[in-house]
Amino acid sequence: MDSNIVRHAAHVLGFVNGRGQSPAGQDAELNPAIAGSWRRCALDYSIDPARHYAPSVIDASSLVHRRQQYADLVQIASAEIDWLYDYVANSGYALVLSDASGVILYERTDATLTKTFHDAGLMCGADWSERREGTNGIGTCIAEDQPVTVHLGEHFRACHTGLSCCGAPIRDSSGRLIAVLDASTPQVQSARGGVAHTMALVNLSARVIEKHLFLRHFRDSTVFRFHARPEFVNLQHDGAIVLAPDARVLAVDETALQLLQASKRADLIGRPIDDIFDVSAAELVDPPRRDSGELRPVRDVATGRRFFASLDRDANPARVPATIRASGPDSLPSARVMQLEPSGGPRAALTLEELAGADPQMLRNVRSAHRIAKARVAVMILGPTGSGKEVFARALHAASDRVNQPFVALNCAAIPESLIESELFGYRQGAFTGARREGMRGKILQSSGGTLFLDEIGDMPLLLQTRLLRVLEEQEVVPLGTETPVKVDLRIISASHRNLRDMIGRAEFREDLYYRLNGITLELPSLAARTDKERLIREFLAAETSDGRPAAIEMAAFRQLLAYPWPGNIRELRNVIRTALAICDGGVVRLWDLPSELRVLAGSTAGAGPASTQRDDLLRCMAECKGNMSLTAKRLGISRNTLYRRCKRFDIALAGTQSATPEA
Amino acid sequence: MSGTKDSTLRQPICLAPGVRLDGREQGDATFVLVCPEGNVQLNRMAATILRLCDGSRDRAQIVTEILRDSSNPARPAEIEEFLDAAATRRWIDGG
Repeated sequence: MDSNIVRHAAHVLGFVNGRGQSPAGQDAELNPAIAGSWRRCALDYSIDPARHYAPSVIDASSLVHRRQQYADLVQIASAEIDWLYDYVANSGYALVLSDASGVILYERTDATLTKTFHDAGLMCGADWSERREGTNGIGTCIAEDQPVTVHLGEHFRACHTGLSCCGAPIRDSSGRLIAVLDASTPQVQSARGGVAHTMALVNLSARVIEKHLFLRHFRDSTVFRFHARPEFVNLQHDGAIVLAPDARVLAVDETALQLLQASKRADLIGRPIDDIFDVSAAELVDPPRRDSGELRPVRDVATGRRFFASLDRDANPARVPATIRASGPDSLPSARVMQLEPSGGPRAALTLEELAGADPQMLRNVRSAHRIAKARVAVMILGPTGSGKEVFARALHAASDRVNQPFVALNCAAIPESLIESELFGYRQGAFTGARREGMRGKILQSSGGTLFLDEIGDMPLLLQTRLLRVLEEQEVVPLGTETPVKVDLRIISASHRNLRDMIGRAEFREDLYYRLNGITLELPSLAARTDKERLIREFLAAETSDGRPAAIEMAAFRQLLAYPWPGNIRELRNVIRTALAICDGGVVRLWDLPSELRVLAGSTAGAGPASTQRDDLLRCMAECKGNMSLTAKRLGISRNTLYRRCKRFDIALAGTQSATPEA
Repeated sequence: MSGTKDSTLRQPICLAPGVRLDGREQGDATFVLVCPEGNVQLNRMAATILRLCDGSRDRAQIVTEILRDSSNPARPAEIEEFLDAAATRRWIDGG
């Protein structure tokens, strides 16, 4: 397997770098779209074809948000995909819909292959842009702006060379790519012929989705539909032209362009319809006469070709997917739309109580926070990285009487020192080179009346500390390049993971500013120190699946989550849970769905547990892997050598299992 | 679908012997499935699905039942995947 990866990587990079020299026989036939994509991946995105990157998956709430943003698309496409799926069911295909950035919004997968596809990263929320996953059916379709087939070794990254993908663009009424419909299969034996057939099906479905979107978009307009054969009018392969009340062309779909042999939409849009067809514009837009629904023969003025046309106020889509048809075109189907909505609307910011959980230190913090929420006391939040300092600051702002005023956050560590000054204090027009012409108000002014959150205050340059101190004392700010001070009403929350007292000792932080900012100090505990860790983990699990996805976590994995020291704190916990949920099979998180650092811990702490349970765990895992030692070792997150040592220690006989299943 | 799979689709699903759903809600929206091989933490949707596995519904009826409740934003494919996973782990019989 490894040698295949190396060979593939060498082949791909050899092609990219060896361009211009005589290509190997196979490369001579390399599709230009694939060749172009390989060059982008190697030269523009610097992807290593041999490396195994973790799939990049957006979080559940962003996915829900995106699905809402593309509600019409997802609704129409999912119905079409379900229909297409019935055609290709049990043929080993996954059908996915991605948006124009390559993020998967909807998938239908052969149930027996869900795990294979999820392992490959084909799942809702995953980013399949070329930049992420290299040459592939989705990303390359977007980059090339045309249908593509990416067959096995045509994938850039070695880990995808087991897949065959067909991606077809879905365009809006202006011709812009807005989504990709992709069919992928892991069947290595899939012949090119079969792939060509799939590509044709996918293209057809993409056209159907486009047509429905087009008609949905212009459902209140007059649509002129035509085709050379009368039986095709009002089916998805006809041409559609949207007419304005004055009978000028407002929009045309892709098929109309092709039928009229126009090279671009601009050739048709804006022209009166009687300029294109031998029809009377007055007759077309005259309401009493046009609702007959009858087909009429028309002639293309430019070429003289004959077409049949119908005119409908109500777009009358053919083969409406069942779910849409059931509830009529205007009342949106109930079941499907519900799926697009999150359970309780977009997740609102957390309240102080929700943050506190049941941890005594957090409860103390929250009590103090409530007491000073309405006062103008400066708050300093200290806590290790990822412990939720900004989230706490936001909750504090939400609990104050300034809740309807802006919460303005500035991370002093994230922007260059030279910019902190203008970011904070603002500037007048032309204050310095590169300044925006209209000037800028600065974070302090923006936050006036609300809350200013200064994150990583320890990274603020000493010089600016002096200026900030002045602003705090005077409650007025002087933007760069001006002399007139502006009154401000400031409430400052600052945060740092550094020990500011030590910094004062080293003269890196101004003592007077420290006392100014530190009206009250709230120390956020690290996740490891929180007594309500168990509850937090459960809550994150529930929150990450608030889109209604069923989820379960096996006790072995749950124990590992509890035992892990969480150096990255809540941020790390959230990411681990998010990733585990994304890659797990059927929504059930098992030990090996956790990142290796958590599993390695399982190995090392195993010494603490009773030897008998360790032995049982090991035996069970080996049985589940059918005696395959490489797989067992991988699942336990240990090397094969360690596994053999452990087997020896626990007196597990190996000879039998080994000979029974020769290793892959 | 193979013939055997088709026939199992019509079978009523119930929790496997020795497996029960702990009705006590632990913290916020989390539930526990008590199993001989070790307990399993469930989220609300997983608990909702397993609660319907009471021997009175087949797979399709469970999916329909869940989709009927408008407060459930679940997707059919995910419910089925979860039922598959639950069957593989012998939490349920008949699925």
